Amino acid sequence: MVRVTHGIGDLAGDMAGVTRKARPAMVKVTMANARSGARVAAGFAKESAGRHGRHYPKSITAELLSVAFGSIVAAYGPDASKKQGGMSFEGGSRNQPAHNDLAKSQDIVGPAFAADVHDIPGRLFW
Amino acid sequence: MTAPALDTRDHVAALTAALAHPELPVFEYGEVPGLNGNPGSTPDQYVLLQVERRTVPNVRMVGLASRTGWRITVRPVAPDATRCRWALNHVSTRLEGCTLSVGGFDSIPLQHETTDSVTPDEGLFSAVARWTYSL
Repeated sequence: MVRVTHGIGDLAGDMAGVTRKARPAMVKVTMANARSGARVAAGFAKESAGRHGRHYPKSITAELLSVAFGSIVAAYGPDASKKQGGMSFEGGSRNQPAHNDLAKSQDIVGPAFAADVHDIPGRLFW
Repeated sequence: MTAPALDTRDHVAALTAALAHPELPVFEYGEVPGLNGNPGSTPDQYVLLQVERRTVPNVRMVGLASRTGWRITVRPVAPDATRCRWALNHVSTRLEGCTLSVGGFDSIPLQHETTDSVTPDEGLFSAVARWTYSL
């Protein structure tokens, strides 16, 4: 006797679950990377802001801006409502070089975020 | 192969040549004539240039890198918004897609990252624009 088994039922179940799990997974990845970006940027800011900008690194926060159909948006950066969050360290001025703390953080977080997004579909099936 | 073109002075020289204009001199911060104790008189309008090495993800197991990544921050400064916009356009036109030759290595075309609009800046007007490249 030949017994034939298949996992098509499991696959069908996984695929039905994907539509339920996909958006929360994407929101989680997006926010995790935004928080990571904020931490990295704050780290650069601690080095560059000096004594007169000692509160500036703590003003760098992350937040989820939008979870709408087809688009999940988070942002990180200095919060102007926090102490020294409105200071112009990032872009500088004609008398102060740009610190580029956010730009430098994007060099690190950008590729990491892309890799994390790439990994989402594989994790949804396990 | 070791990481190429590590001396930022070579990058500044290449970028200064790329941006050359008789009415728009290029300086690094701290080198503008007439400011910070520098001799000479401050030009009406000028460009401030910053060159910084940036992280390039290294996929190799060893710590050696065969290429280097760079970010440039360019700030045109002028006495009024109109002239500052002209200066910003000059900088953008010269740098967009430009390839640099630095220390014997050719860069990839410069890639625009961000531009902030012309705004008042301590009695004058300035804008800031950033490009990245690697070689």
